[in-house]
Amino acid sequence: MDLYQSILLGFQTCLQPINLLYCFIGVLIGTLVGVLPGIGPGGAMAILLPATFNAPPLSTIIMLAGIYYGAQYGGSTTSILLNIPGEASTIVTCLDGYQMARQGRAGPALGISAFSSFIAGTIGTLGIMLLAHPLVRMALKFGPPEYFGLVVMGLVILSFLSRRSLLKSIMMAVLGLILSYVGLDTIAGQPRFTFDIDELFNGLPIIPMVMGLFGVAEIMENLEKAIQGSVFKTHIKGLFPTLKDWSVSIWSILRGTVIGFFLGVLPGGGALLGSFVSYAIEKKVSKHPEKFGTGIIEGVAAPESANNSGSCGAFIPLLTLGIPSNVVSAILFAGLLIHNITPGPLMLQNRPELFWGIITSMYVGNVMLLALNLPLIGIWVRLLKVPFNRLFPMIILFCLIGVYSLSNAIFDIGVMIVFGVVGYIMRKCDFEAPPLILAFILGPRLEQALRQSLLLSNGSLRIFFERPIAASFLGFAVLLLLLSFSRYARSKRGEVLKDD
Amino acid sequence: MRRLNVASYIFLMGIAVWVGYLSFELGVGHLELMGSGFMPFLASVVLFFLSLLVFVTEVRKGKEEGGHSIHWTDLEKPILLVVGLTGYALILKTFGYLITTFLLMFFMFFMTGPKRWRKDIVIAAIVVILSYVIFDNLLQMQLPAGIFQVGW
Repeated sequence: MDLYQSILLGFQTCLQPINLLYCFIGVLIGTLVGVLPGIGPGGAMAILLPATFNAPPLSTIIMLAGIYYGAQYGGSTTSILLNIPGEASTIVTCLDGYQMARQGRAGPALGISAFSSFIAGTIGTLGIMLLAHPLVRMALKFGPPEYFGLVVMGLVILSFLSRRSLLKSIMMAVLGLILSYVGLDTIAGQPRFTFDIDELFNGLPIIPMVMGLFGVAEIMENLEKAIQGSVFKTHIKGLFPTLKDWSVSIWSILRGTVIGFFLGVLPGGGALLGSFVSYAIEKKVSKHPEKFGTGIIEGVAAPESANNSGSCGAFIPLLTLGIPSNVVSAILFAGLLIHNITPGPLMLQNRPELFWGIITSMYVGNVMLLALNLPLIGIWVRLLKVPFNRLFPMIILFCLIGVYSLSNAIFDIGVMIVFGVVGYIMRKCDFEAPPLILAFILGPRLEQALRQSLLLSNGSLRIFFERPIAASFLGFAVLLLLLSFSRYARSKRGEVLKDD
Repeated sequence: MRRLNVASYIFLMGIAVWVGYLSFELGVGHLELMGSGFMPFLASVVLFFLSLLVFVTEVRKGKEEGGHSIHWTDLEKPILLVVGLTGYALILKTFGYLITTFLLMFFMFFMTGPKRWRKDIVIAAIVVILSYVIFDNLLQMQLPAGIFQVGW
């Protein structure tokens, strides 16, 4: 099947009324969670996952994906009007977006944010379409050693790109690996770390873990001090950017799109990394870098396009290699598994309608988001006025219902509470949760690939160096580690010398 | 909050030792035939040495810096939330969704907002009934009825 036919098949599938409905629900909820601080797309997806058990698999994934990229649109509204990023990936939008709002230009800021998101989402979707086939062809040649190398490289890149300490990120990834080994060893059939608790024989449940680490922990942190801030009192007019606005921001949008897309493909990249890098690059290439942060439209256009194309790029490793690159794609991974679909190269061969349906739905979702964001902006602004003390009990309630309905077990609620406390303490100690969750998801695959590789080679580690793809992945991972450790050692030596 | 960081490294080292011991008991095996404990053992060794490294680095710094600041008064509401949720998990099966969730919602509204208990009771009741209709009646999620079989 060529690309043209594949795209047609995708549109044919995703334009069915049921899928359109789920797509609409997804982008609507996504925008909502993006607008409301305190709950992210990961938490919202995890909450809704149990509600999709009886829905068709494609509709489920279309809805969950819609929540992800919808949240990127919604997050910018709070950044611009409230100076509070609805999502981490819209932090940079605050810098110029809020300043524009203060200068009475909230309309053009919100408008360019929606349009640049749409343009980037569209180009990002095209990028996935073009890259999917070659990547799948490559992935089909992968054996256990290549997968082992890929997973190791993914985990190292994720730690390398962490916002905080590299060592702490690796520690969390290793802890995630340990947690992933709770349950029955699928190869030897031996229970590990189950302590005769029946519920642990199937391993720790991922959804309560995610809800605890992200949802409950976030709320606990917000409860310490209520979120301060008020909606900027300005009449929002002129949502459509002027020709002058377009002429100064179009190149920023295109640069942001390309940067965001390729950084989104990286493990741990997603929407966040691209938004920061694109802003930094815009500042570098600008003729007036000193104006960044004072309310210029390029400062909104670049990160907004980057976070949307980044969220598209994040789907590539999941759909083509079967490797989730961030927490959100890990939840999508879990969603597909629940419906007995294993994401990866074989998905394109065995379920092309599903594969292309998901990809084309992103384009349809982007059109819906444009329609949702511009005319309904007043409603989103009004939602921001819901006080946190009324909002957080609802979020907790959704978490509880979502977790309980997974298997009607109180045990799952217990797991969510425990990981909520763990996540809260992790935040206080500057440990990041994404490496833990990704390692938890990839742990069993890593172990299986290692065991199979060593069985193939009769216990010789040379198999990883004799196969070029595996060797390149592992070589790159080692290089990154060496680079990071030398940087770490240099900075520590600097600190010691300074202290002396 | 350096003390909290240091405590977390010691805790992680303890976890690593414990996991290492349990993995060793499971059987580490050898490269040709890896035992069930091989990967967890390897992971525990890495975790131990990394924790030790950051622990030593933190101790060598020798001054109070880094980490977030926590004031005990800030912890009051997060702790109350955890207590409330734990209580909820303990009595949910016995008293059923409607009664238990109503109590939890009232508790959460009351602990954070201005103390208007009548208003909080009404809002908690509305939220619980609406959520029950949506999730149990419409989405067929089978929420627990409890020993009093409250529900419809």
